Amino acid sequence: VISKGGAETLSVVFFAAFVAASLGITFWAAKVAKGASGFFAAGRTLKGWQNGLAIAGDYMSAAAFLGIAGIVALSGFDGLMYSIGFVVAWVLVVLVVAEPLRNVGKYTITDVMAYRLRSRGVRAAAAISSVTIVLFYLLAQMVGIGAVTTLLLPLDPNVAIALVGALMITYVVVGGMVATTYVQMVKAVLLMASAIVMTVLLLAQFDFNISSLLSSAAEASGKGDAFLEPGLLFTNDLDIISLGLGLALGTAGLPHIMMRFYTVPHAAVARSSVNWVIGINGTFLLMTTLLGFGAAALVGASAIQAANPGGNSAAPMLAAELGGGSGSVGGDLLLAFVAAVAFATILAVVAGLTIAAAANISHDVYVHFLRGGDVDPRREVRIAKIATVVVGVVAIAISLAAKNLNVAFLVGLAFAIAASANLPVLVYALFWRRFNSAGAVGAIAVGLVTAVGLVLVSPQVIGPEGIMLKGTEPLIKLTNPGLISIPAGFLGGWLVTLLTSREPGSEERFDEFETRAFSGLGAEQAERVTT
Amino acid sequence: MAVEREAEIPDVPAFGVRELKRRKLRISIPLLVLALGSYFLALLGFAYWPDVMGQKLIGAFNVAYLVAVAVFVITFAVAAIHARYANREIDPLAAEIRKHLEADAGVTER
Repeated sequence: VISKGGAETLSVVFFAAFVAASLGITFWAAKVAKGASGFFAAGRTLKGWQNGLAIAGDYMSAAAFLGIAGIVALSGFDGLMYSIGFVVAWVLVVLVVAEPLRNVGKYTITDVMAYRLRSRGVRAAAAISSVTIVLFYLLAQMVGIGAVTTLLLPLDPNVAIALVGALMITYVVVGGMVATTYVQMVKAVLLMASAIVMTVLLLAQFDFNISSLLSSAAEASGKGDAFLEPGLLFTNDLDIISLGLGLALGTAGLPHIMMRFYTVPHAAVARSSVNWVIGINGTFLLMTTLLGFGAAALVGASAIQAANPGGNSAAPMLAAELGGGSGSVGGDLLLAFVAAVAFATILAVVAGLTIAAAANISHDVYVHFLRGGDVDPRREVRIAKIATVVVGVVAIAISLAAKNLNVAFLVGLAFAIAASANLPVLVYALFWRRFNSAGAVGAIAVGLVTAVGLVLVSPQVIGPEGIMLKGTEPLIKLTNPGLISIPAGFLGGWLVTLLTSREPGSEERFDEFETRAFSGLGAEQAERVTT
Repeated sequence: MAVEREAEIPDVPAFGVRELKRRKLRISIPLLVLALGSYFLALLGFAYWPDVMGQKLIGAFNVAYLVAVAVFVITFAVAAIHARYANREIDPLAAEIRKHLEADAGVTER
């Protein structure tokens, strides 16, 4: 733990306050979230800025806050690769995916993928890829809790993992999407507030001259100008391209993010939510990169790595420094606040992931795949709650077993699967009349298997830097599969469609689908608010 | 209350839907090419032209940093242009089409 004494107590107090507030919201939400559309989509009544904040809260993980600041602090410019990828990704979401999704679907990303292709096979395949994405993402967050806890809170890592797991199950089972939304909104506000305070304090130390901040960082790093140029972290050039592709194209296929577009009344509000996300998230990412350079300049790489080899300690240690130094009242206060916010961040993200997995399992697998769509909404919600508990318990168990492994690569893998398996089906379904069910299953199978397969034989999993078979050499050098798996998924869907017979139903429904997707005709309506 | 998902939609091959799609694509495709294109050029630059990227511009700012900030600015600009265009050219037409088709199908506006 980098915080000692006063800061330690304070961070526990802040964190406990967040937990208490979030539980209060959850039990209030239980009364508000009525019926299936209340549970899965918060009644579709959110305003654009509310959903924008919640999406930002869903998307800005601890990896984005602690991780990017840490990578910048240790490797300089290369950390910005993540920042720009995480912001440009929203262009694809707002221009292509968000509005048709809201217009055509009901609760999950699969609704849009399967609309024209009314085959159960497509539902099943799409649900498998979405649940895989969400589980990998969830495990990356929960396994990471161990490392963050040891750093920030006086808690046993096992206890922290179990506590986070129990809280996320409670939020979702009791308060559904309403509770999840408010937890994400509160978290986004807290995270932005701490980033803004830290950035202002940081820049004040450099007379608001970013150039002098950058030169101090370069000097303190001992690497000189190279610290401000690409190339310190990514030594394989193709890795930059591959990771960049995955980040920019994967966001539009992330089930937990896309699901949030069902919480607004209509497509125009879905659009304005993305614009809010671009503003909030973009500002946040610009600030975290500055904080990373600040940590390099004021804390120094050796102190950061002494606390955490991966650099996750950079932002909290910088907070202590900016508040007036470790041990001072201001330093303790800011460190404690940032530590508590980092935890709140994890909670909001895992809750969003869990409700997405529950929706995929209940709405796609149970209702549509097993029951052909004919299920009482109350039963649909009940199955989702059972799925929440199962997913939560499984995630806790795996995270406890794997807590000493470095599984941060699972986030990159989740993005790559989203871009390789989900995105091709979304794009073909929207724009290609000839597209058929076999093509959809083909795209998902090829994209999913290629992405997972390539990571299994990459340096992240096997070989000296991986998590198993340390004595062997990885089969490929690429650490992120996107460069190969994304084209493979698109090609797979295209080839399989052309090699199999035409599907008259899918082609006939294309006009109707287009009409609905572009005009919003027959879109799911918001619940009338009765208060 | 829940809305019937399978409300009958009359076979109107295209009262304006074609025009709506045309307007959507007319704005989306150029903006998508601009944003993703400049992003991938930036990635190629970071990976393969380190000398250019390391050129100092003003103070400690080099070309790489300028390119990174440019990607942010382009993203913000694309979102703003798209929002403005969609509010003026797309949403009103979509609403009109919806009204027509709902009237034809006997679906009342909620």
